[in-house]
Amino acid sequence: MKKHRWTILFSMILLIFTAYTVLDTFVLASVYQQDAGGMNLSVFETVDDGEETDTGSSAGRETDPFSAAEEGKGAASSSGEKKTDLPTDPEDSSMSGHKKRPDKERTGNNGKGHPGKPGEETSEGSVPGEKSASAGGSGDSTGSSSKTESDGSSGASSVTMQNASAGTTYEDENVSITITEYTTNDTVVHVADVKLSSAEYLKTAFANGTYGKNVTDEVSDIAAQNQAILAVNGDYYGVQESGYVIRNGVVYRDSANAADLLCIYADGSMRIADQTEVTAQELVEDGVWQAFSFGPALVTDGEISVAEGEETGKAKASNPRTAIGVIDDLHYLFVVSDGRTSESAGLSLRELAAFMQQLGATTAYNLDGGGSSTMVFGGEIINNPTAGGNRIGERKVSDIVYIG
Amino acid sequence: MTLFTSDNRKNLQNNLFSQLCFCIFCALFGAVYECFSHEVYSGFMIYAFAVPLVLAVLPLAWILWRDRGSLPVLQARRLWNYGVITLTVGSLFMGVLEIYGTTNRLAAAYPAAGALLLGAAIAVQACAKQGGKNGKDADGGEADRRALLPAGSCCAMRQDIIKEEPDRRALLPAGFDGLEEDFAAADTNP
Repeated sequence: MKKHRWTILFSMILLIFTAYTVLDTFVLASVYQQDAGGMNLSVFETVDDGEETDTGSSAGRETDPFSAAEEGKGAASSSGEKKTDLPTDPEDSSMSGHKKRPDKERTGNNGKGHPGKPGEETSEGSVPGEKSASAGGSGDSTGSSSKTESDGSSGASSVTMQNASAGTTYEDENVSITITEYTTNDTVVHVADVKLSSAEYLKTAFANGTYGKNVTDEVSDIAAQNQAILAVNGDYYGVQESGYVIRNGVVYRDSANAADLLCIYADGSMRIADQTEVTAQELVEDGVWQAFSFGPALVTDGEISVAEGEETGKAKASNPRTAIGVIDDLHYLFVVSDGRTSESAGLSLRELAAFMQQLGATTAYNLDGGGSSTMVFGGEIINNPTAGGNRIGERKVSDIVYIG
Repeated sequence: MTLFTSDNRKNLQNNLFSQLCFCIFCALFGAVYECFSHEVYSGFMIYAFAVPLVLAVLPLAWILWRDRGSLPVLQARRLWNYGVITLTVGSLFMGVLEIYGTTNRLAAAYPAAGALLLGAAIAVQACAKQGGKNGKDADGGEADRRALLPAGSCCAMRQDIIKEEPDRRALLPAGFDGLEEDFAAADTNP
């Protein structure tokens, strides 16, 4: 024993230090700020409703975010065609490679998939849930058919939700959400098409309302605590020690890293920024409402930002993914893909970027994926999150992005 | 210079075997971990085995194969082993962090401590060599142990001592019985 005392001492020191480091990384919670649910609405004071933004905007900002979609729906309605694509682009041939899940794969009212009315006839590839959501029977999947939307645009305060326990649409005077499922690259992808009257309805929340390290909770629980209509996991800021964290107009971390920074401005636009070139406070003063530091950027100015040859080993892997993008002012996409299951292989970053581009996103950004990818709509988990390997279940995350 | 003893050589062989087993373990651990990492790869995890291979296995094998010259003193060998193990554990831990997608500032302690231990090992060995040149017992007490040998001992150490450099004979304790004749024989028939 005496002969090996130094070896034993060294081994104990190494073991204790390693154990502490592991606990510090994965277990021990460090609270940096309690009650971190404040919102800095002053960023909206500088928003000019008539101001045209350069990124994420079409030819001129629509004062009525629903009117553009209404035009497209009108065309679809008049033709009597059942709408199977995104509301604003019913004739998009680029979506031909992405097929809707056949009706028979959809489950019932369990929150996953589109619930169909029993005995309802649908055309091939259509969505019974979406069809039933269209008030005029036009099969318009806008979720809100022209009739419903016209009610909304006239200022009616009625809320329309298709099958509250497993709805595919939601609409009120400020928020319109349509959930659609696609199958691409042997993967089921859940897309939430979101239209808002103001970016202040695009919010974020921390687990347990606390900003800190290893402070986590399930997406569904965080969403319930914040009365979220729609929620997806955020950028899991807690696992990183650097990278700007700006939530609801408040700066929580101002140490920069090399990751692409997604900035959502109070005017509803999205931009990809370089953290090393601007401070977090400057971003808030410039009108940034939310900022995420995970990345990479998937689509920038309508072009795919992830080059196939530049993907690293991590990016090439097929995994569940979460992404957020913008089509037009205050018209967003929340995308969550399944993966690591027999039904869904998952997407690489390149495939995800191509998918976002084909959905019409002009700016798109990758959020935390893998076991974190979760989408909650109306209190129901609508994707198949995999936690702890291939087991279906929610992983606890540090933050969410939600509409509410 | 360090006296060449069979015990020292045997220790080195045991050390080489231990390091080789450690190297193989690291290679297997990295391979198994990567199998369950959902195609997320980390260079730290995959090449963690290279640390003991390059810093321990290959140098030890070369020293033993060389079969001449000075050998590392015991304290230097220990410090070197500690440094190699620290660097290897650090590489594995960095691989875990990289695969998980997180960071931790404490992980920087591993390469720092490992480099410190390796540097200390080199310093101890250099001091040992310097002490040998000055005629001091640089062998960590082996001269004292030789003094304990019984007179006329026929143990293998006598043969090892005979092989030493001539100027090292001065380190032998006075009255070391029975060796003068062996030295004379060695001088006659080198």
